[in-house]
Amino acid sequence: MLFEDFGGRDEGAQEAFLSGVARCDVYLGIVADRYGAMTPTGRSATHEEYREAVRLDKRISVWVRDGGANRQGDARDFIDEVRVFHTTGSFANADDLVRRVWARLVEIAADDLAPWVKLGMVVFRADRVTDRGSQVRVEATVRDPAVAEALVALRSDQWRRAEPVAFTDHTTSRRVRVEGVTATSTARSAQGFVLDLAAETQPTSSSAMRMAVNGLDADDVVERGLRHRLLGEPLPAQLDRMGFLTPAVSLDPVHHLPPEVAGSVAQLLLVEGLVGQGHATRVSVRLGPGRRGPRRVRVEWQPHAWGSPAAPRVIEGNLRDGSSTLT
Amino acid sequence: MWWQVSQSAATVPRSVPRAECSRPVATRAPVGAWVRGHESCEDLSIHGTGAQPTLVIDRMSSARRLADDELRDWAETQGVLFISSVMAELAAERRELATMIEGLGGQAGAV
Repeated sequence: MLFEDFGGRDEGAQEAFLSGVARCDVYLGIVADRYGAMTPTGRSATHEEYREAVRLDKRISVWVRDGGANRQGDARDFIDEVRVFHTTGSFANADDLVRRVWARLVEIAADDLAPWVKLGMVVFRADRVTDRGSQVRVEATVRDPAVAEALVALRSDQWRRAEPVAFTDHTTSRRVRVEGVTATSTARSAQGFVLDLAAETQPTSSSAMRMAVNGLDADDVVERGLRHRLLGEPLPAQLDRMGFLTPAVSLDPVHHLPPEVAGSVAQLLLVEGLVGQGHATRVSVRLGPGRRGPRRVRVEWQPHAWGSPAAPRVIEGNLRDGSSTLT
Repeated sequence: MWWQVSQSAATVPRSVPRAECSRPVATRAPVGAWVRGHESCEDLSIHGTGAQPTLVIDRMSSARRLADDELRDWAETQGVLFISSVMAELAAERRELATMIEGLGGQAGAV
């Protein structure tokens, strides 16, 4: 349903369209030459909607019309802001836009229907995850021989994999024992896998060492540690020689990955490091494409409310160069 | 523990934060080379084994093509696909996108 059908936007519509963003699953932004009329916030409605979609962690797809010689300065600035964390698509006309958005929706649907998961040190897409609490079944179609080999190596009858490993999806992480790995050759280039996992702990249980240190509470320690490990900021003096208290998270592996894969892998690594270790109940990661300079990263997490409500924490900055050395 | 670096999969060594561990960090190896999984303190604390393979990331499956009925089923589970743009300038684009989304089984909310 288009707002035009109701006679257009009026002064009272600000709240209405932001609530529309809140209800949506996918935000599609389209930008041509005009920025749009300013709202009382000093930004256009489209710009406000985009920011609301970011704030609410919606899936975002923004399209910019080709050309742009007559594009308003505010519209250019808006596009630059979008490109910090998102790859924008281009289009020539309405038909072209529809065709490209269709293709993008197929990709988004594929992400939904084949979610990325991490089992031990293997990151792959699952066709289906059936979670019964203490028992989890993961079904996957694998085309990469190295990944197939790594999954077969998880069989619990091999002595080196008898110990529990972390199983992580985009929101939860828990320790599991791999009880069964069934591989079926479904095609010359693909193998079907069924992985049966026995959960050792519930997804939100805490296993990390959490401690207040010299005026930093446990969540401050987590934040300072993430700033250090992801953004390259120095650890504060209070944490000198106490870095072991900070979450063991590194995004170095994503440096070599294309944007469409890097964001999903970064999410898994942060969920494993924060949710899996009991530092947070929810994590949201945004990773910029980094095509022109360093990758931008934004991590928001909800600390555990150990006794009292805790406000969400956010860090944002340029992702630390993977080749640099932590001190 | 030895692992082979794959051409198709992204096989990436994990870093070992020096603040917590003084063991040497594995260097990146060329495709096809056999490398030894390196040790890290964080892995020791979790697994207690002292040996850790590198991260193996599947990039080949990301191109999976959905069938039309899979896409339609997915769209029907979506609440709203929200179209955000200047209205007058992009009226045709908005209208065609909304038609496409609704034809797909989803709902288009647009301002």
